[in-house]
Amino acid sequence: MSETKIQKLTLVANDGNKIEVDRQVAEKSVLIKNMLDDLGDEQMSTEVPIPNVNDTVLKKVIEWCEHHKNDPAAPQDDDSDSRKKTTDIDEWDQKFMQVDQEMLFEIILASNYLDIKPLLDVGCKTVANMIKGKSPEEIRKTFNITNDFTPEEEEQIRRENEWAEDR
Amino acid sequence: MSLFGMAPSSQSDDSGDIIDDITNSEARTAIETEIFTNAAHTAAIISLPPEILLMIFDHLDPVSSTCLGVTCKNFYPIHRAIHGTVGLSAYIIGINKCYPDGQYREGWEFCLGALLRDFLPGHVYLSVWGHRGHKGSRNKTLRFMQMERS
Repeated sequence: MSETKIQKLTLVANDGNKIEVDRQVAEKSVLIKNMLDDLGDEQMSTEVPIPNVNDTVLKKVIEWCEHHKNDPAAPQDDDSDSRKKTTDIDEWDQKFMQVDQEMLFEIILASNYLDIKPLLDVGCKTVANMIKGKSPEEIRKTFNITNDFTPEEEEQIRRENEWAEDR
Repeated sequence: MSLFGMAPSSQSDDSGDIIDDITNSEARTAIETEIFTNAAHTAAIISLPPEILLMIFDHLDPVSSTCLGVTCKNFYPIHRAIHGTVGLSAYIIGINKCYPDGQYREGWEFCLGALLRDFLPGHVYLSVWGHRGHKGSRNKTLRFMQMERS
């Protein structure tokens, strides 16, 4: 395979399952793309182990990459305000993100590890949208967060934020 | 923003005692154990690495960030690092409530004081006076009144 450019890659999830994908799809992951660029096709094995991601999550991530494979590459300067300020999510992505919470966070972790910024962004926006308009107690219930503040610490928070009329 | 900026130990002085408490106390060990255990089994918001939490906070308006920030010790320093002090009369722009007359308007229940109802002492009671502009926090149309806890 030394002369021809690799067109298909086999991703190996951490439970050993193998998933064949088009190179174009796999390259949505900057981690994989850089690996291909660095090693060059000659040195590159077509099997790519993804040790941090299990089969179910990897399939889900690949589904996203397939759908978005023709998207233009994100601008390098992705700290731009337009990306941060809005929590609008396109319709397909919204449906894609209708998964249980554990899967949602698995997708976020996987996209962070694989360096798929637009997917990571969609994940974080989804979480942000689940938080908006909720009281702290509602947020705790939604995400199963334990309140570990002591009453004294809560008082300290109220004081340092000046959340009392007569301070 | 530097990631180190949100490490509890590097908080600036204005955060005061509570940050020291978080850094030093046994509670912190307990939290870390909990995170570790959670991470080993299931993915949850509490087990996300700091850089991802920072991204989530980044997507939140100041009011929502405050509400997330006061849910647990791990999140509070991140909220403070990004949004600092947010006043009780700040409110979320863009979330509307359907009122009984069928009209959608910015609901006062999405102002911080209302969302923090359970977090505030029982005697701080929030009442709304008149119409607030977008700089609601600057207008003195929100007043906090002392009330006996019923």
